[in-house]
Parts: sequence; C-alpha cells; structure tokens
Amino acid sequence: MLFSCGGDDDICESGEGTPRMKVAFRSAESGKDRTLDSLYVAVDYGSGKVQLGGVAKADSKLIPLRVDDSPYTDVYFRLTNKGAEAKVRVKYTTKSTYVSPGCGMKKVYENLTSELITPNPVQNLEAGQNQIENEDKTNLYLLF
Amino acid sequence: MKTRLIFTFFFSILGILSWAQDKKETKKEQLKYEPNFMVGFDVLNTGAAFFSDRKLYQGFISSKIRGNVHAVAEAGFEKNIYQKNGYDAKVNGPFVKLGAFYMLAKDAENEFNGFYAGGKLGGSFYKQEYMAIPVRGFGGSSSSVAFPSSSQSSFWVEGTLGGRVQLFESNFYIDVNLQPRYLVYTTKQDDISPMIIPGFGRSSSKFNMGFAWNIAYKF
Repeated sequence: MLFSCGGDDDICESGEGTPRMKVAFRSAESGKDRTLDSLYVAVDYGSGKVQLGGVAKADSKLIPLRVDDSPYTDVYFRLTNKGAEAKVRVKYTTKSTYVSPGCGMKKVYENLTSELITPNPVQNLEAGQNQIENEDKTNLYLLF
Repeated sequence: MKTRLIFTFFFSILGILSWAQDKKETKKEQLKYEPNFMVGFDVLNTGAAFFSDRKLYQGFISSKIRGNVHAVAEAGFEKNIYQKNGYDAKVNGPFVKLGAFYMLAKDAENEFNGFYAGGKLGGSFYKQEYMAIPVRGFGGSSSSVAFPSSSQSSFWVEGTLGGRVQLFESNFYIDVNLQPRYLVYTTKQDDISPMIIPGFGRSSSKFNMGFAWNIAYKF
C-alpha cells in the first residue's frame, strides 16, 4: 500500500532471542579445561540431524536447542568430520517469555540434565550452570 | 487505574487547548460562533473492507469554531488480523479521535473549500487475541505460544493534512486527508507489544500513516 510506510521492524538481533547452550571441554584425565583442535556438532531438531559445522581450536561452542515442546534435544559430537560420533541427550524444562515484536517469544531452559547415550569420543559429562538464561555461563562440560 | 490516569491527562490537555482558544476569542473579538457542522464518512476504506482483511469504518464531525480554526471529532470501528512472520493475531474495537485543524488556504467564495493541517489525539479500546506468537528457533525448529483474548487500550497523537472540495453547488464535500500517527501509550497483555491496533493500524513500529477519503455533508 502506498501509505503504509510504517515499516515493520521484524529483525530479531542475535542474543535477544532464545539463548543457546554453551558447551566447554575438559580433559578426562586431569579435569582441566582444554582446547580442541577440531569439533563437529550436529543436532536433531525433530526432523533428523542438522550439521552445525565444525570449529577449530575452540575451547567452547554455543549450540541452539529445540524450541518446540520436546523435553530434550539430542546433540552429536565428533572430533573429526568422518570420525566416531557421541550422542548426548540434554533434558530440560522450558519457560517462555516475551522479547520484542521482531523476536516474538523466547525460551529459557531450566533444570538442565545431560545424559551420555553413546560415548566415544566423549568420555564423560560434567554439568555446569543448570539453566540457560543467557549465553555467558557454561552449561555442559564434555570430557575427552 | 492507569487508563484513568491517561484519560485525565488527555482531557486536561484538551481542557487547556479549548481554554486557550476561548481566551484568544475574547482578545480578537471576532465573529460569534454560528452553529455549523459537517458530517463525513470514509468511503474509500469502507470500500476496501470488501476486498481485504482490514475492516475499517470511520467518520468525522467537524465544525468551524472561529476564523480558520475547525474542531474535529472522529469515530470508527476496525476489525483486523495480523498473520506475518509467525504471528497470528486478531483485534476488533472502536476508536475515537479529537482535535482541531487550521485552514491554510481557502477558496474566497467558500471558506469550507481549501487545504488544512492540524492535530488530533486518538484512543482505541479494543479486544485482541494472539493465537500465535512465534518462538524463533534454529534448524527449522520453531514453535508458538498462544494467549487468550483480552481487552486493551492504546493512545496516540495524530497529524492531519488534507483538503476539502465542494461538489458542485451542493452541500456535499469531498474531504481527503493523510494521518501520520505516533503511538504514545498502550496497555499490554503480559508485556506483549501489540502488532495491530484498531484505528492505528500496524503497530510493530510506533510510527504509522493512515488516510481517509470522505464524502461529507455540511449542515
């Protein structure tokens, strides 16, 4: 319409929407934080695995979780692109809060618990902050 | 409680305005107010209502107060939906606008012919229902949250910029005006900014532009 120059600000800037889960890495032997040479992550958002790509020389990785009513998200980790894959199920409860016209609602995750369903290359898990309200604190440590 | 405060605020502004005008009147000692009214109905938006989801019916009553100053009151009803970017919402309700305009240029033979500019304060008292507000996710995962129907009210300031032309020698006029508006205050349901407001239009940004194409009758 000629006169509708109001302009909808439909843009949702990153960081305002649903926060992602922060995963950091530790050594299984010493328990100290470590940097991985490479890490490949995939997530099942309800319709099969979605590859989130790889990171190099990383000490942490932000992973978006499901925003539908599913009580868990399955996350897959590989150290190399063709290598063995570990499966981690992250369970949580969610709460919705309103953000802005552009972003709509966001989900906040609470009571985070993780379960290592398929080990290797991930040896074990260690819980971090058990709620995701922003992307500052580490929610889950992977032990390699 | 807040609504009442806002009301008081608006009416006190109106009170100040009309008081100020009265004062001027005594100063200039111009012609006395003769009862005159023009009643108009927006035919363009009514016609457009048949072809779109936006059902907007509005009309106005204006009266020449003194010199080039006319008072204007508008009222209307709007029913609308918003289905975009994961949103699914509907609203309906009445709205009113009160204000005044100044004849910037007028016909020497007929002072009701001409161009004018002015301002109005608008308020809408409506029912809204958000069937879906999106939760934006990653990788095709998304969901939405629904909210029950609720009653809300919104208030805005509006400019008016238009013209009036007499139709031949009749008492009928065509009145066309543009209405740039700015949303000042709105009540919210669970802090949700309204996406549409009856009488205002889309409100995801505070600024909006409306228009009216009226057929008016002068009494």
